[in-house]
Amino acid sequence: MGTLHSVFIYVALFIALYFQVFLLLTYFGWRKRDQDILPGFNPESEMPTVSIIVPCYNEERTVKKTISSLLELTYPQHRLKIVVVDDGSKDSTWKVVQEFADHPQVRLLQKANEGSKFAALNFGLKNVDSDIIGCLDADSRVDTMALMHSIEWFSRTDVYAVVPSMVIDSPKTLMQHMQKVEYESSTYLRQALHRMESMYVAPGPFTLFRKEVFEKVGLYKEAYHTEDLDMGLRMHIAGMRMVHASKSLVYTHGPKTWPALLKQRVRWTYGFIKNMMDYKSYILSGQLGDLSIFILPLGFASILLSVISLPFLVYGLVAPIVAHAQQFAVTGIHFHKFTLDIFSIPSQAYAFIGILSVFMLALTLVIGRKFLLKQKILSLDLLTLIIYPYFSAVWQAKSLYNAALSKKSSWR
Amino acid sequence: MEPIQLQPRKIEWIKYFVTFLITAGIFVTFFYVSKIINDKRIAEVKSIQDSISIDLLSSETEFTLLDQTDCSQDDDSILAPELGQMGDHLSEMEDDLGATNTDVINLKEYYSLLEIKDYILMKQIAEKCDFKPVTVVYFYNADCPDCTKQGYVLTALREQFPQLRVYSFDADLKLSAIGTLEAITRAPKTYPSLIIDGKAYSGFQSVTDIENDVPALQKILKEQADAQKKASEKVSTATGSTASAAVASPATK
Repeated sequence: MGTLHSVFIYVALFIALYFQVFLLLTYFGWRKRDQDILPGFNPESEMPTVSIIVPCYNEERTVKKTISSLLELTYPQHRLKIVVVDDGSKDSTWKVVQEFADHPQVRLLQKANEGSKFAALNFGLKNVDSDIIGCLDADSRVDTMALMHSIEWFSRTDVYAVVPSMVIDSPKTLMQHMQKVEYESSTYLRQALHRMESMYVAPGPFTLFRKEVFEKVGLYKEAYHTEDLDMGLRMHIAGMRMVHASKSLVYTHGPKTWPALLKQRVRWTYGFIKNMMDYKSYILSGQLGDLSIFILPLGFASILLSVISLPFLVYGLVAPIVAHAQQFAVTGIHFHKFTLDIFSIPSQAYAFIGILSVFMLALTLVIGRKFLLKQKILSLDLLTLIIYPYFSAVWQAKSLYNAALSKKSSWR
Repeated sequence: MEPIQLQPRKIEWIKYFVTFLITAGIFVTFFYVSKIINDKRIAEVKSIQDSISIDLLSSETEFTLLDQTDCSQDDDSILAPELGQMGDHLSEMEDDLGATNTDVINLKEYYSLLEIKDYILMKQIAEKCDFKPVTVVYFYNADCPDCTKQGYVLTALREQFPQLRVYSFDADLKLSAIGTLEAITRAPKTYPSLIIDGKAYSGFQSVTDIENDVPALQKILKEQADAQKKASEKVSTATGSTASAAVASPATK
């Protein structure tokens, strides 16, 4: 193994391990103590009014389920409004939603399509007037207790936005199973960021905001089709606290095929890179606390690392297969006797560190699944973890490439 | 809309420092463990080498002092498997520590010398006791694309024919004894080069190539095939009906 190869592996492992240790330290207690005490609301009299905007573009198949799940939310009915914004759909979305036209909690609006979701959101924002405003993508649905779990955070005056836990709804394809495991690991990450007061993305599905946020920080911006990231950063800069309500569950559909997933992830990663560049003065000046010096630079570095490691990953996968194929071609299938001695244990340090990293990843999944999402820990889809680094390296490479050439990525 | 106001955030530097200590601690521990394992491996190979060298010295002493050797007893079962096993361990260590590691080079040089001594001893015993062992002397170097394949072939042959003695030498080692051996056996200067029972071959030789070229191996193969046939016939006469079995297998007649 070349020296450059070794140095790169050890540096990458050190950074990855550092990040994991930092997150685990935070998760297991190194943080301010009273941040999560919730006074709670006095039912009925104090519960805030809520409006949920549902922007749709060609969602005729899923929008009814979305609206129904919102109407089934456990919450005082007269304090919850649903605002559906049909963003110039070319299919029968508008016709489908007419079913709810006479429902007292639902309001249907239509607008001409402007090519991006943020315009539909802003249109909705101009037409609502409640204490708390949120959005739900038209292909997602909510757990019945989601609103109650999220709203109780607003009983703290320092909370301005509440982010739920996202879960992949009924995964069927390999790509969807891979995303399901990824989202579970992300839930842990989100909770760890929350404990570090470093949440910086206000994701589309069911994030709730106080209306003061939009008054103070402004409406959604175009922001490279990642308006949720831009909003999160602006809130962070304005000192508005964003929290994670881990018990609040939102079910969202993941892209079924690799091309669709690639498109979505390139949009996210490209948006991340471009937003970071727009806000680089805030990051470099260290004004955003842990986000400035650690989380965001690491997010960017991990993209680079992931891309650089792709050829090594491919080599690591292909080289032993080629060697064994060569061996079989020459000698036929031969099985060596396996003896357990000092020569059968790996001797390179990176092998042990690699094993430790896998162990820590497993730990994050256990925390994500058991403690945060209350699911069982072991299942077959964990095998997708093996292929995940390869796929993720591809979309990160493509995003980096696009960002370097500053090509625009598309929304649909 | 009010301009975005900045709220400076306090950074807990101590936490970053403690994380660094923990991560560095983990790294140092694993590097230390790795060093311990590598040292143990080197010690293990050295101890095997020491025991082989003592065995060789004992046989040589017996041979020269008494000018006779007990031809019924053959060192085959003591030395050959250990040499082969040591060769395997050495190539594993070369993969892990690299071909330029001084420990690896020293061990390989010592191993080559032991191989040459075993080769010489084998020749002397063969002459004295009048038996012909099947030997393969194999020379390779680092820049040779077919050498990995040749290595697989020889390992497979060694496992299939325990009586086969394979001596492999890395021509890149700075050992004059290897050069002398190449000259004596008239080995071709291109690698891989094989000397099987005194005949020189240049270029890659597959399993079937070698099996066909070496009459002694053919004989062993035939003996193995016959033994297998006898064993299966014994089974069929024991379990089959007497009449049909007696008619069907001519060998039992």
